[in-house]
Amino acid sequence: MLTYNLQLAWRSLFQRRSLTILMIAAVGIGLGILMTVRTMAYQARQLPVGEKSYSLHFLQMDGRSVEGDAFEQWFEGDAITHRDARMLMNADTAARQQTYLWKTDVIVSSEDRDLLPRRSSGLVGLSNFFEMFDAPFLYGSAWSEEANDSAEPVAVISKDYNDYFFAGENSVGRRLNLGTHTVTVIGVLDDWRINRRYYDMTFDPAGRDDVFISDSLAQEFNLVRTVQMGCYGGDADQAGDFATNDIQGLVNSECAWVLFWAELNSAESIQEYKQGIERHMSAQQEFGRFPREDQTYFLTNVAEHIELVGQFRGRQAFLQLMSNLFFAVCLINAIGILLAKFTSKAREISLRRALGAKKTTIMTQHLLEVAIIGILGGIVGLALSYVGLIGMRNIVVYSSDYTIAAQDIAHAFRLNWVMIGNAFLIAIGSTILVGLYPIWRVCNGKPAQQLKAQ
Amino acid sequence: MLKMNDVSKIYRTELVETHALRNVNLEIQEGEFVSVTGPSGSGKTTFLNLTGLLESFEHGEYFFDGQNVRGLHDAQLSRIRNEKIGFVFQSFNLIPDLPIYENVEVPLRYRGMGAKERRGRIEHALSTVGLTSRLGHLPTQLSGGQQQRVAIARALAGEPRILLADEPTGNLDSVMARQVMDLLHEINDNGTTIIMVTHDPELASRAQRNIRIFDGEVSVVQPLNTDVLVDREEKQSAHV
Repeated sequence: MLTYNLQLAWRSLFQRRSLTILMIAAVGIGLGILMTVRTMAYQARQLPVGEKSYSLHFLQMDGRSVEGDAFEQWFEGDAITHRDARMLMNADTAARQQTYLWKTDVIVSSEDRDLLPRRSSGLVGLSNFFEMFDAPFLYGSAWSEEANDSAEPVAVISKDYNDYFFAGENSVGRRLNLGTHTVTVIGVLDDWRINRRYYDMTFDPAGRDDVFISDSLAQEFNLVRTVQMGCYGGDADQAGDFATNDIQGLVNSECAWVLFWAELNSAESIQEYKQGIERHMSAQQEFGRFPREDQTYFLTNVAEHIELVGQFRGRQAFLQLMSNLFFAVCLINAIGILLAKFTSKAREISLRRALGAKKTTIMTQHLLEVAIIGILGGIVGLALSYVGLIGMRNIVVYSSDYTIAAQDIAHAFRLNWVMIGNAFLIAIGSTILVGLYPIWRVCNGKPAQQLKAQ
Repeated sequence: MLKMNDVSKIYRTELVETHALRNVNLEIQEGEFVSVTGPSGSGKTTFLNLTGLLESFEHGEYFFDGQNVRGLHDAQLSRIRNEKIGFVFQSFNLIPDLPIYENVEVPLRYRGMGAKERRGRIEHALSTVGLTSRLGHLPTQLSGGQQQRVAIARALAGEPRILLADEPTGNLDSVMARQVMDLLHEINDNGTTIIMVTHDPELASRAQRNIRIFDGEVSVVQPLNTDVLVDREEKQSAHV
């Protein structure tokens, strides 16, 4: 019976063909716009390092003077001072591992004079950064742990830079210039696709770091600091100087500018780590630091960050609302179209009932028809959302004055199997939902009246 | 075959209550050919629809093939319609998009019959009405008389106990009408009970019994001439 119903449902699509096309178009267009926005929202909420997003914790400690309101949320707070970062690195903590980093801007050039230098976003950190944040190596490796402190002139570069400066060859041992300084390439990263640059708290979906060097080397080269600096009291006046010139002053200051991460794999270790932080702050308070009574600190994981950052606000939230409303309008239209389509078949349905079809059989036939329309609407909707996502991606590229390359943000506008499955579920589910009333109407018509002689 | 005791049918709207049938008391034996006559709007079609379980009724009892149909739910009524009742309508009611074969197939599909058995029954039914060569034609490619014969074949394919015909010749010219009537009599001769609504007194007179409905009431029921049934049984026995 199911096969017969399926045959009838399929045939019915070709009766009153214009209504079928209209119905598919209504579902498809509404779904296309809905899935464009939903895919963007979905990709924005994607965790950048899978399960590790729950174990990588970002530490903030409020070392400000007593003036000013207390920070209530992690996103209000600053990073930590270089001094605290160093002390915590040397402390015995519950973390599986800890690291810290800061950002710089540097002009990179090679010995090949034909290649134009590139202005690069650089990451300054420790050798365990790569393992901690799952950065894959194509060639070589990170610098040694000893090199963290010895300012050994070595650097890890991105695959893109390796392709540009060394034509994709294994460049380990080759030289690059960072500004006026020369370093040796010690490692080349493979394609490191993360949907957001979460580790430097910019959450930039497009930006990428191309050069990675140790903290000690960056200090020796006195590379510019491009992180946000929380300098208060006497340090506030010197923030500009700290950013570009006096690095030793900055390292020894009470400015919070170092991004500190701890890998904590269990609730117990988190608890224990927090206790360690509280002990550290109390101990430092005795030296006149952390003057605030509340001793505020935040220990938040990547998943928490993404939950906040991934939320659609402002223009995006409006877009989301409009796409939902538009889809609802399309579905309401679909009810009318289905009613018209099914009403035109009332006589045939009455005849089938007279000849022995049960109401449930007629209902099944029409549910199948509606489901097929849903599937076809889903296909149209997916095709439209594919085009819509390309359009939205191009708008972002255009809005950035082409400083962002389309391929760098492609992941934020990409349909994946989850979204494709979602699209079909929404399409089939919603068409069945809007089809319920027309189907109920058509199944509960009075056959005798329809079959009366005309 | 069927028996009605005080059956009434009322159509209600917000303003009006219309008694389509009032206290119908009737019994029809298996194998009878009964004509139903009456003026327009008298309740003939309502009576036929009610007999064919396409309409519910408010009062009384209706026994179909010994079973009280009052209170049966949709699936049970559908099954009875599918297995025991054949319908022939004035306007043929063939499905225009389906070829003749598939039109005749419809009731058999809802019976869940296998493809081989369906084919056998369809070919037999169409040969009975003389349309074997038109299996692949669409209804619109046939004349009115042929379409009505297809409708009869559709009713016959299910081998019903009773065939309900609502003005089966109403849309046909006299020659075709005679052919269709001959066919119905042939079917009745083979033992199928037939109830036929008609306006035509001549066609009505060819039935074994006539039921006259006036203003929703069965006003005249000719007594059953049981000789006809006995004669036919004897003929059938002799044939066997």
